[in-house]
Order: sequence, then C-alpha cells, then structure tokens
Amino acid sequence: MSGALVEARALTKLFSVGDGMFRKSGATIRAVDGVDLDIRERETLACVGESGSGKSTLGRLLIRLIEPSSGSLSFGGNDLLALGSRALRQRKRDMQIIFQDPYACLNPRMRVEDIIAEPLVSHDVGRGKSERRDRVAALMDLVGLNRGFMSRYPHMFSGGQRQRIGIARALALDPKFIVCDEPVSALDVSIQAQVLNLLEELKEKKKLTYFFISHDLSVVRHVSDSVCVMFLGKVMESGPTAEVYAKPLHPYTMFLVSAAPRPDPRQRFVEKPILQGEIPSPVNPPSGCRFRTRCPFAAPLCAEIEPPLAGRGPDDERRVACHFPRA
Amino acid sequence: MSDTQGDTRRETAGLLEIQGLKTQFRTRRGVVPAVDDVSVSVGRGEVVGIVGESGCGKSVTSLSLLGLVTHPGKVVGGSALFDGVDLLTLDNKGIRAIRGRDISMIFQEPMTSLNPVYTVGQQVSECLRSHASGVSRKAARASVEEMFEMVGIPEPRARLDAWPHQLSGGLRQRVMIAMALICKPKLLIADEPTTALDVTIEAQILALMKDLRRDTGTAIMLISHNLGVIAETCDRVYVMYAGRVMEEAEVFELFDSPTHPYTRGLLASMPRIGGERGPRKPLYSIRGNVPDMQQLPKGCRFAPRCDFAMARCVESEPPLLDASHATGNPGGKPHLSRCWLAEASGAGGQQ
Repeated sequence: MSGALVEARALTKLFSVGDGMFRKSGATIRAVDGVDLDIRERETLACVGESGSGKSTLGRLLIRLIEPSSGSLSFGGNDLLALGSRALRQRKRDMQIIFQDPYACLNPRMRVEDIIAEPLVSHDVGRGKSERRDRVAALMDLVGLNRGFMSRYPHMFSGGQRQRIGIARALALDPKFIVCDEPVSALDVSIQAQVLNLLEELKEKKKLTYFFISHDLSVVRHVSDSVCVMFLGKVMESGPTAEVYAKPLHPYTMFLVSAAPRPDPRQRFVEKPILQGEIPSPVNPPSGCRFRTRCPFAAPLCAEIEPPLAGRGPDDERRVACHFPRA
Repeated sequence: MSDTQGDTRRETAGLLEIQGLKTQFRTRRGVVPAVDDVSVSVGRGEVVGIVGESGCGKSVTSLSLLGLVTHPGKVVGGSALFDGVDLLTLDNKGIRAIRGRDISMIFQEPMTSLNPVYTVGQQVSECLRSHASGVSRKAARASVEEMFEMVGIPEPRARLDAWPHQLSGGLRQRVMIAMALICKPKLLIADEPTTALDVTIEAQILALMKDLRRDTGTAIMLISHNLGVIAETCDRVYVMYAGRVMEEAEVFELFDSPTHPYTRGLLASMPRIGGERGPRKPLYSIRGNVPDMQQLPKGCRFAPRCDFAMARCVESEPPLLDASHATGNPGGKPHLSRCWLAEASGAGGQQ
C-alpha cells in the first residue's frame, strides 16, 4: 500500500520474563504480535486498548525507540529497520513522542529553555545560544506558553503547562510524525480540552501525522480519523473511527464502546452488555483467538484457529480479526 | 459566608448532614483552605456524587468526616451529623468505632490499600472481628467467603488465602468492596473507586455498586472527577471547585440544565463518544488554570476563568442561590448554584 507515511508489517516485540535476578525463566510475552499498520500522511490514527494490550510498546516500535523482534517497518517509503545508526539518527528528527505524565518526563533540574532546546542541541540545529533561544521562544509561543517563563523550572508550571512544554520539545525539530502516548490522561477535564485543541491546531499548522495512544474511548472518538483496537498484543479491529464506533464488528470493540461511562444520567436505563472476566495473562494467552475466554459469542472454532485480521467492505477499509464478526 | 444558613429547608431525614465544614492545611507558605464552608447531605440509601477536578477538596471532605486528615491539615469548623452524632466532636476512640463499621471507605488504588503481608481473607475477616466482638475465626471466615461471593469474586473459597499481589486490579477492588461492606455499613464512601481500572473492569465495578445499593440499601457517597461515572450512578450531585460547592442538584436536572458556568464548562469540554461525523470542531475549553489556593480571588472563585463574569462577580462571592426557577422545576429537589446569574434570572433567590 503506497501513500502511507508509516507502514508496519508483522511487527512483533517479545519481552522475556525473568523469574530471578539474573536468570531468565524462558517465558516470553508477545507484547506486540504481528501487527500490520498503515498511517497515512496528515492522518490521526488512534490506538485504543486496555492495560497490557501493547499499545505503548507499539508506539515506541513505530519510531524505533525500541527494536522490534521481527517484522518490517518503513517511514516515508524508506526501510526504517535497515538504517544504520547515523542515518537512523537523521531520520529520527522526523519522528517524536509526547508522553503521558507531564510530571515525570521533564528533568526537574533543567530550565524550560534548556528542556525545549535539548533536541536542537543534540541534533546540532541552530548556531549559537541566541539563535536557539529565538527558536525556543517561537516554540513557546506556538504551544501557548508565556515566553517570559523560559528560565523557570518545570515544578513552577501546572500539569497542563508541563504538557505544553513536552509538546514544544517534541516540535523543536519540525517532525512529520508524532506518537502521542496518552497525552491527556493525567490532566483534569478542563485542561484536557485545552491540550486536545492545541494538538489539533498544531496538526493543521505543521501538517503533522499522529499515532494517538489512549484508553479513553471518548477522547479517541474526538481526535482520530481512524482507529485500531488492540487486545493482548493483537489488533482486533481497525477502520475509520466514526464507522467503527457506530457499528463495531468485533465483539471486544462493541463491549469497549458500550462500557465507557457517558455524562448522561439516562444511560442508567440502558441495558448495557458487560464484559465478564479479566484480561488473560499475556505470558500464557489463550489458544486461538485471544479474546475468546471473555467472549460471549465464542465457538469451538475460536479456540482452534486464530482469526486473521481480514479486510471487509469497500477497499478493505475496515478490518476485523474475528470468526463471527457482528453484522 | 452566610449561605449555609439558607439550607435549612432541606429535608432533614438525612443519614449524614455536613454543615459548613472547613478543613485547612497550614503550610510554610500560608494557609490552604482545602475545604471551605462545605455543606453536603446524604439521605438513607441515597447515592450522592461529589465531582470536581484535582485540588477542589472533594477527597478532603470525606477524609475530614472520618478523622483521617493528618498534620498539617486540620478540621477547623463545621459539623457532620451522622445518625444524630457529630462526627467532628468524637475522640479517636469514638470515631474508630464508627469508621469501618457504620461508615466505610474504598479508595482509588486497590494496590496500596491492601496489606501485602496478609492474605486478603485475613484482612477482610480482621475488619469484621475488630468491630463485631465474639465472632469466631471460623464464623468470620464463612462470612468473608459469603461476602466474596456477593461481590462477584470467582472461586471465593480459594481466594480467601490469596495474597494481594496474586489478584488483578479489578479483583483487588472487589476485595476492598467486600471489606467495606462486611460490617454492613450505613454509608459507603467511594473515593474514585474505578479510576485506576480498565474500562471493561470499571463497568463491572460500577454495575456491582449499583446491585449492592439495591440489595443492601447502603447509602453511597461517590467521589469522582469523571462526570460519566457520576451521571450513571448518582441520585444527587455536588459540583466542587477550589474548596467550595458550586452547584448542587438532582442528577437529571444537573445534566439536563446545569446552571453554574463551571458545571456547564466542564460538560461542554468533555469529548463525546456519540459525536456526529463531519469536520471536527474544537472542544469548548475553560480558559486558564485552577486558582492558587493561597491567593484566592476576592469574589467568585471561578470568576477569573468565567465567560460570564461581571463586575459584581469580582467584587463579592455569591452564596448558593436557588436556581430551580431557572430550570422550570421550582419546588422540586433543591437546585442551588453559587452564581449571581442564578439570582438575576429569576425571583429572589434565597430568603
């Protein structure tokens, strides 16, 4: 498939689980297991899933912050995994990440100016301190921070402002692609809206492409063009967000969408299907379909054969990994 | 601050009546009025929500009731009548007799609220045996098993001997709920009970809480930042901001016709799951940040962020005014709003 900025094929990441300080027990977790993904330029692809679904690991793989165990990955048509360290470093200017916790991801001993300028320094962009300072000031304007606060430390800012610092740092090298890893989860509702609006505005202004990781289905509905739903390292369903929400094909998606609490008291009268059971252990996932132990529609076939992620509808725009998709 | 006197017409058959609660934290930089003249009532069997953003004082309100505010915090005023007894006047021994028996609590983080060196069965039965004298170990174990079954823990007997680390987050929260309910409390205080849980597990726990309320008649005070959780579970809601109650209403009325600009702003800034397709519109956002609790504005605490602020709002802080006339529901359950607009749009306000 051409035209995609980021293309992943059978992308897999295994983690081995140690059971002692130095010994490996031999058990592995397939944190991300054979994921196929296309992110079109200037699109926001959201990745939604519960804890342990592998969504953050996938985000880190896409910008090669961590190395995949197998599979292929390309960025702008170039094989990202074939690049040597120097070429990769060049490429990484185009790929950035924004983290969830604005308290933990900023060095408390560095001034905001130095935090935002750090990517410029390490990639040797801009000559001299004064030019860099001008760029930092422009970045602070861009994300709505008072440039007069340049020499303050992170603890002097509120959560929302710290997230803006993180965003300014991610934008310092004019990237094309940003992985947003739960960027608003730690923020209060009123501040969350400010940051979501900012991300949207920057996307237009800077022609950005986002991979937006979140567990919050309402946020995902708001920000994304397309969505992929993950469960235990696998994509269960993907497609245009509005369609996936309106008509989920995978039972898991259906439960997720209906489980999200809504600010409407009349929801209490709606009989909601509630997904029973817990997320299975990723060390020892169920045979066949990984969701089958929680799925009310599971049949014997589901335990035997793992359903592939198969295209449906025109242009295979929607994909679902289920033997018995909801119609 | 005369607004607490105006609440007298509220029905008094309540289980819990908090009046004018004030809790302060004395820090080196000054005094933080974390809870500032807050009045909340909970009826028997009622589910009351307290919603607000971080730092609004919603958790400190509940901790104050149970004598769980620690230095440098201190309850400095108000009363909290629970079944006719003022909780705030009780000594340590007195409050311990009530805490865990008549009023129990569940917290956000089920990981840190359980003791890692005791099995979950031991912990829950200890709770029962410390409040009900003369219950044998064996009898306690049997009641714990029964309670585990009731809160939906699979294989309850085997799970009695499980250690906290062997359970998932959802199961741990069920253990916490079992512990909270084992003494059949009259009031359960649930502080962000589902915030640390995954969406599908959250739905299970909320459904469980609804069932328990139906089956046991326990009143619940549900503290949350999540308007969705509040909307789906509560009968009545208090919206808090910067240590104050800003709006108080029956749940349908609050979500159908919110009157306080802060409540309206919160609701408008939430992304909606059922939004229509089409070009994306920016979310409404409340500008600015929560005020510094040590330098609170002189007038309305929300005025610096409010789109409707008038000169009067900056000058003087409004009391909780009757807003029921504004929503076409006069004479119904009280709908109060701490906003001068509630007064301007109708007749009189409070007597």
